This record gives sequence, structure tokens and C-alpha cells, in this order.
Amino acid sequence: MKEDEIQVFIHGTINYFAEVTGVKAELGIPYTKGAEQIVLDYSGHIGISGSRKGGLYITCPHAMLEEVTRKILLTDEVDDQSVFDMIGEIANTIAGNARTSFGSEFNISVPTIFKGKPNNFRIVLKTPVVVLPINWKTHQAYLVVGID
Amino acid sequence: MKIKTEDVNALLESARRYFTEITKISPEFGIPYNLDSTAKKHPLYQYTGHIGITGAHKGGMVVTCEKTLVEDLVQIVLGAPATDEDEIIPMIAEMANTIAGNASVHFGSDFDISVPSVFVGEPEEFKFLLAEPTLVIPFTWKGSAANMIVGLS
Repeated sequence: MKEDEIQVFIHGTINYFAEVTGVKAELGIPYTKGAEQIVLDYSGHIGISGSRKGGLYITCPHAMLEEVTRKILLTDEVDDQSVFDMIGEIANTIAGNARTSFGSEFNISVPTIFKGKPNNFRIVLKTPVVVLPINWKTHQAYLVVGID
Repeated sequence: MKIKTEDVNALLESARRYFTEITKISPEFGIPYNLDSTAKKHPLYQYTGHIGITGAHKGGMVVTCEKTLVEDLVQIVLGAPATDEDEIIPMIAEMANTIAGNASVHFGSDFDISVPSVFVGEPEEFKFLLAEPTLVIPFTWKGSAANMIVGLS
């Protein structure tokens, strides 16, 4: 992935959080993923086909996702299922936003979503894989992208 | 999108073809069922190969299996036991890719498949968002358990 393509995901993520929550996210320095596990409480994965092939996922801590869900649904009462589904909505929107830059042949699948981070759980994407640390309010999440 | 009987049969044939072409040993299929995402036990095993589906059909497909199944496949394909995960992960990815590729013949040219992603380990919960009902097709191969899971929107 080229540097300007990484910027697409950085800007898309910053814009997403600013638009839906009113609070801008800050992105840390992207780095190439090694063998380490990068999975937090909830993860949403999208497969990519067409002009580019690969996948991406966003992984968030529970407290962050719950807060984002409350802001989006405009309620203080959010149930576990709404929080769980929200990780897929975030992955879907960030991948969908990237489509406007990569073109209409950048096809995205529906999200596959996971809850839990057992020690042995890992998501292995097509390499090389770029990790974008996301800081939103006091929380840290990660966008992990592996496309050719 | 509800998956039709002929689609289920095509998926069964896609998996059967993969195993018989590579190993000459056919899998034994159980009764397909719709995934209940609120059920306590999710249908994932230790190794899962995921294929995203785009085009006319949008969704996802995973092949998930016990470690012993992938180890047996590695033994047959490479002629030696798997020594580490670097040999197991490409095998489950290739299995999902080939079975999805076989299925795409039935679903048509608009059944566009992504490259495989691999999930290692078992999370607490799993589901395809926006692609329900999700169909689970259980099968065993050489005594090891596996599921093929397909959700299309």
C-alpha cells in the first residue's frame, strides 16, 4: 500500500469519528504489523475484492464502542447487541468511505464481527499489513489494513 | 437473503470437490441450520478461513475447522507434518479460497470473492452483519469437525 493510500484510511477514520460523534479522532503513526496480536474487545472485519484485494478490520475496547454507540443512537441506554453491531457499522463505513478514493471497483463485503479477545485469537490479513492507531477521547483503537 | 436448496447443494459440492480432489477422502455432511447469533456456543473452531463476497451477492463465507483437520491436510498436501502455524494458516486460507472459488461457478460471474483472511482461535461471539439468515453447514472429515458458514445479503 502506498503512502497516499494510507492517508485515505487516516482521513476517512478522522472524518468518521468527527461526523458521527462530533469528537475528532487522532491517528498515531502507522506501522507495519508484526506477529503481535492486535485484537481488543470488539472487532469488525471487511473483505475487499475487485480492483484491490485484501481485508481490513477495526478493533475497539468496550468502553469506547459503548460511548460511540450512545452518541450515534442518541441515548444513554444501549444494549450489548447494539454495541456489538456498531463495530460492524464502523468497519463498513470506514471501508465504504475509502471506496470513494479507490473507485467503484473497490468492492467491500458485509462486515464479519467478533466479540472477545481470548489470548489465542488473532485476525491474519494478507501481508504486508499496516496498523493505524486511533486515539478517540481517552480511548485507543486500531484500524488494521492488508490490501495488495 | 434466504439461501435456496440448490445453493446449499452447490456449497456442499464445492466442499466435497475440494476434499476429494486433494485427498480422495470425501467429507461427511451434517444437517445445515441457520445461525442463531444469540446462542451461547458460536460455530467457530480453532482455525477459520474467511472470504468476503461482493458483486451481485454481498456477504461472507467461512470455513472453520478443528486443528486436527488442517494438520491432516498439511500432512497429505506437503507430505510431512505441520511444524508450525506458518504452514497451517496458508492451508486454511487456501481451503476457504478454493471452496469459495468452486462455489462461484454456481453463483455466477458476479459472485466476486476477496482474498482469504484467517481467524485463529475462538472469540466469544461471531456473526456476519447485514447478511442474515446465516447458514451453517456442519461436516466432518477424517473424524475432525468443521463448519462451512455462508451469509448473503
